[in-house]
Amino acid sequence: MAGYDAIQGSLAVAVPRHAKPSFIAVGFMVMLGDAVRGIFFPTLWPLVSSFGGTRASQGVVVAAFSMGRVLVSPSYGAYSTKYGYRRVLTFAHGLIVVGALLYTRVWSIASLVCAQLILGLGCGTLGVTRAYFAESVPRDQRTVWLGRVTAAQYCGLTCTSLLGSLMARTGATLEHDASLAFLRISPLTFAAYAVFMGAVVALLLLRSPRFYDFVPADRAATVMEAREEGPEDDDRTHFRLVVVGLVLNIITKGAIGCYETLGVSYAQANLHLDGPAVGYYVAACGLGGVVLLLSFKRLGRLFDDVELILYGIGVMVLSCLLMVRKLSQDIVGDDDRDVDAFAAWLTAMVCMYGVGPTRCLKFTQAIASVFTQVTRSATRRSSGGSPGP
Amino acid sequence: MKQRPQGLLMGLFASAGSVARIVFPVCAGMAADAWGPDVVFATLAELLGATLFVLTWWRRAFRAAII
Repeated sequence: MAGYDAIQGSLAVAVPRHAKPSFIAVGFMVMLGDAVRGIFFPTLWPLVSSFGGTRASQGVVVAAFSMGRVLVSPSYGAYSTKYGYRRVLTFAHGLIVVGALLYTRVWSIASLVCAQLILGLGCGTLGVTRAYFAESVPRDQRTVWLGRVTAAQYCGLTCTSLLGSLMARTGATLEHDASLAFLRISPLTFAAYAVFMGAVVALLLLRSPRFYDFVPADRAATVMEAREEGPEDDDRTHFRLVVVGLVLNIITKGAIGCYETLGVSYAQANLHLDGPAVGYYVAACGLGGVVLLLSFKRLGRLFDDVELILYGIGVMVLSCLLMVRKLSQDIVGDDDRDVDAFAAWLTAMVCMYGVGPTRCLKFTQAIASVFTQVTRSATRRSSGGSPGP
Repeated sequence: MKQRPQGLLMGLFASAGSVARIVFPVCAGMAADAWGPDVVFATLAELLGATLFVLTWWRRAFRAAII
């Protein structure tokens, strides 16, 4: 009940009425961006192996998606600053439509890599969407809204694997329906149609007149003029903070990435759990993370942002230590080794997937705050000491 | 930092995370094959512990920047 109350409490936040539909639309795009990865979890390995691929091939397929994101994220960010958000998001979701259609018709490992790369290129908008919220949400409400965005992202990644499983079953049912032959339905690729539909919905939301678009560069024009006259000490401090934030982001995201690879195989090899069972546990932990993110308003009353970051990373350290078998046996005990090993693994998963997102959110918010503080201090200088917007 | 590159820097921030999601699992897989998963998780614990130390050391600057 505590979690339910927390969600109810967090929904009471007030934002300008005209902005809410746009926030919900962008939140949907954030969820779609990670759902593209999560929804294919249950069927990716069977699909790769059906083409004669190995685990290494699967690694390349997964990496192709991330590579697509890496390639476009900075460019999308720069273009959104210069030309506004609608144009960039429309282009990106157009790419998701193309990638999803290609995915429904993949015929080899190479074509699958190509589809994943295009989907990755389309899903590289996380920086853009976060910047959208950072630029348009009032500062005092940013924690709650970024919490919701991260919850949407996390929900897309962890909870849509269930949807992927359901789509695979539906695909198996419809596979031999002659009236749908033109769709070339396969249980292993049917989930791509859900991605296709999601991208089409996103495009319609972007074309809606209720979508609030703006060009950050125009807003910042006067601020930039003021900056040229101001001292550079703040710049250096903020630059160092940004670099530290980037390095820490790499380390913590990398740690979660390792869990996606080794956490599951560890359970299969050492605990003899099958793939779907591990998936259910991970999804349940992810759901806990989503609830935690949605209750950030209440958590924010108990701890400040820095404390949440520090505690989040501390819990991640504990998770890694529990995954070291020799240490976990000392920590949990070894009266009944199977049960204790399972308890240690499950605790580690809860720590990493259930609490890890708090760190992601707080880092994102920290970076957003550092960027906007540069602007705010410059605005104060330009307006003779009055506070910025 | 000469302009107001919120979108660009957020994009770089997201890219850094994606690079980590490519590099770390690949390296972790190779390390696990060579030395076992215990070494990987122990190394991750050390890296995250160092991260925790750096953040604790910088907490005042971070607090001033984000609150």
